[in-house]
Amino acid sequence: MSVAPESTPSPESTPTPASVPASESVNRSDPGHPAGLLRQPGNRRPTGPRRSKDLYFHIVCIFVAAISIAVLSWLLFSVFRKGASWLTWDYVTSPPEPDPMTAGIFPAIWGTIAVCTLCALVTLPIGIATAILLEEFKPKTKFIAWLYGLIQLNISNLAGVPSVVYGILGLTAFVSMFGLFESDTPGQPAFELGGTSFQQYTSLSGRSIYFPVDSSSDGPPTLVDGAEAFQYSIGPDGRPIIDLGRLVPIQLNVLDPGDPYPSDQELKSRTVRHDDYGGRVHDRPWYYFRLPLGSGVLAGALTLMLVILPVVIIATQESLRGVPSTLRDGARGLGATPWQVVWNVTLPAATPGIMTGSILAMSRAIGETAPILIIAGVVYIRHVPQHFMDDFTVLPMQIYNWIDRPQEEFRNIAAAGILVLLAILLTFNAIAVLIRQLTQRPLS
Amino acid sequence: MAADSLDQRVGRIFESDRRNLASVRRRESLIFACLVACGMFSLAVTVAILVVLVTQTVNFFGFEEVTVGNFFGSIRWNPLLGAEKSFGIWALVSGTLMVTTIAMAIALPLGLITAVYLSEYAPSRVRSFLKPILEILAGIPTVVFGLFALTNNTPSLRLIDERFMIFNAMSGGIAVGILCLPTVCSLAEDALQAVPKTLREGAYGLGGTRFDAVMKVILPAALSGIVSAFLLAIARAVGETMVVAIACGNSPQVTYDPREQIQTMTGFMVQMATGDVSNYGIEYSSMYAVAGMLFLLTLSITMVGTVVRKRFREAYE
Repeated sequence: MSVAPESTPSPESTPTPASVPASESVNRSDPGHPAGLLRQPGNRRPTGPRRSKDLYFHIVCIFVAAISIAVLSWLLFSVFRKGASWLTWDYVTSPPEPDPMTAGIFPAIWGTIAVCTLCALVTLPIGIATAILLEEFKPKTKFIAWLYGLIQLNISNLAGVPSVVYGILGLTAFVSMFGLFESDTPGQPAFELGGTSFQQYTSLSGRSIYFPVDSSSDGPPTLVDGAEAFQYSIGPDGRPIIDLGRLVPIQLNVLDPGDPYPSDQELKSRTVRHDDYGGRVHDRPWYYFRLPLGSGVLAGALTLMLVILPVVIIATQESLRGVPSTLRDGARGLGATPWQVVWNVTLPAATPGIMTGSILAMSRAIGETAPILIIAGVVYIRHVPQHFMDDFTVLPMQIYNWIDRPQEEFRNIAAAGILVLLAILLTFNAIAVLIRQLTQRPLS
Repeated sequence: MAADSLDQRVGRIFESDRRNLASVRRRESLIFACLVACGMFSLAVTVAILVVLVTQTVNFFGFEEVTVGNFFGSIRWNPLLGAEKSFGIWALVSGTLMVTTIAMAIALPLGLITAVYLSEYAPSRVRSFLKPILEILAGIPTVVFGLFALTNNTPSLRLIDERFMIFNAMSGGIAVGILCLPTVCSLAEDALQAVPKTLREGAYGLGGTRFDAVMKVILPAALSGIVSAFLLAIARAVGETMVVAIACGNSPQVTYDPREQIQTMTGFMVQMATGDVSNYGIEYSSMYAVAGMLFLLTLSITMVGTVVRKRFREAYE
């Protein structure tokens, strides 16, 4: 692309008279030689202030370009130096702890995987469908053309909105759902599907008793004699099996004031005091669903969907535009309906570009902290999310949590977390580049 | 088989693969309706943003402690002080502007010069080396820059001048500038590449150096694209959250000294979301009001950038 005016044309391009042997070295300053014409005063290369300005600017350009390389190297080097020694196998497989020496990043990795997979499953259909609508189904009336223009303008604007605003929107629209589903106790779901809740009491002998309650938001149940409650079943080794899915029913005995204190061990193990308050526990399978969604994995995935949807749409539009129209016309000529053309011809041809764009969008979603911070707040999560409404944390958020702490060691494990995050992003980008390389084939 | 007449056999062939045209049309319209619904979804997102922000801002101004005069006139933002709450937005806006100014002072010149270098000066080997580096820089998550600002920028700045505080505007501004540099560079390079070759070759043909061609022909021709690139980078710097939340501090004040703590609009939103504020109080609504201002600011900058790129683009062919 750059044209270099300094290069002089080779002597071969000017006609050599037969009298000058080709083996002679060319003296370009000699006016007698054809090439010497180029060194005449009228044809000089620019000298003086313009030439030196060009040279200085070239040096400045190289220097500035080197700055970006230097900054990137310094960034990676300082992160590496801070965190590399803290990146052990224990670090990757343990939960976060208050002590930086034993803290790990395991729940954050699984939270990231859960949220980003769900986000991809939600975003890709909507994004690709919107791009197909805008590119393949051309408007036939002025109104629809105006609508397409509005959608296109809208997508360009949405691409520039900061991700905090999407976090705020997710907070209102997905976490609290515009306040539409309000239960009596704030924070508890108004509608639940699939979960069972218990009120947990400690019996007189120390074993736990589980009293079923109808929903998460009910108050504590009234205890009556002879009501049915549950306990952990006793395993073959004589110790209780801690599994809320395998409870055995017992008959509850309530110690009202004035009742004699039981001496029988078996009776004691199913007796609770009448004024015992207990605590709420839940048994929620993976398909548990609640409304409002609360700050769970699903709400996080939907909020991230808002962030990366414009990116996916724009990338898909670019790759659909890259499919030559001869393919589409050929399919139409064979009698395919417009959707058949899209599904059978255009989409397969554009798939490499779409996949590359989606993977790059997912890389962006993996690194997004602000929306998740807004919807979830600062939480201390030690477990992998068990169902779609469960609390979660993602890698960037765990890193942010650690950075905010004052002790120096937390900065070190934050740097180790950054190394894990960068490794994941590098893998994603490498996969995208690999897909781009492997599927480059000429389409026409 | 010979008993079937030819007509019967041809009829069987034709009928076996025939699909009902009406059902095909129905299926096509159904699919088209689904696609239109997805297209409307993006419009619904914008409408939802507007509805949420507008209703909550109206709710915010409905509180008696908040007046429009105080919001737009005061320079003190103290939503959490008990008796003396003040909701002057200028404290937060000034923090945002300070960080953005520092960031743009770094990103715009360096990004433009890098773009000029990539477009006009660099040999292709250097290009193939430098462009991936800029892409990597663009892909690094912002928390990394936050940690970088806190652990590298601040100590280095404190070495230079003792009076830099632990959280200061300058270290956050520098990190945001490094963040925005790849954006400026790639958009400006697109604008420079879009200048037709004929203009360049004309400049060189008249005896210009590369510097002459860049300064006198190419940059003026690509000016609309470059201005649009600058505006989009400014919008990005205004919306930057994590770097300022980590490195710039939590005390909103109007100050011209980059060594002091400030709080930006985005930093305030993070502080509210991660703190212990009840869901319906005035502090919660103030978060939405600030989000509304932020959205308006970035939307206007983005739209002006798009308009500048489309309206003032020189058409040479």
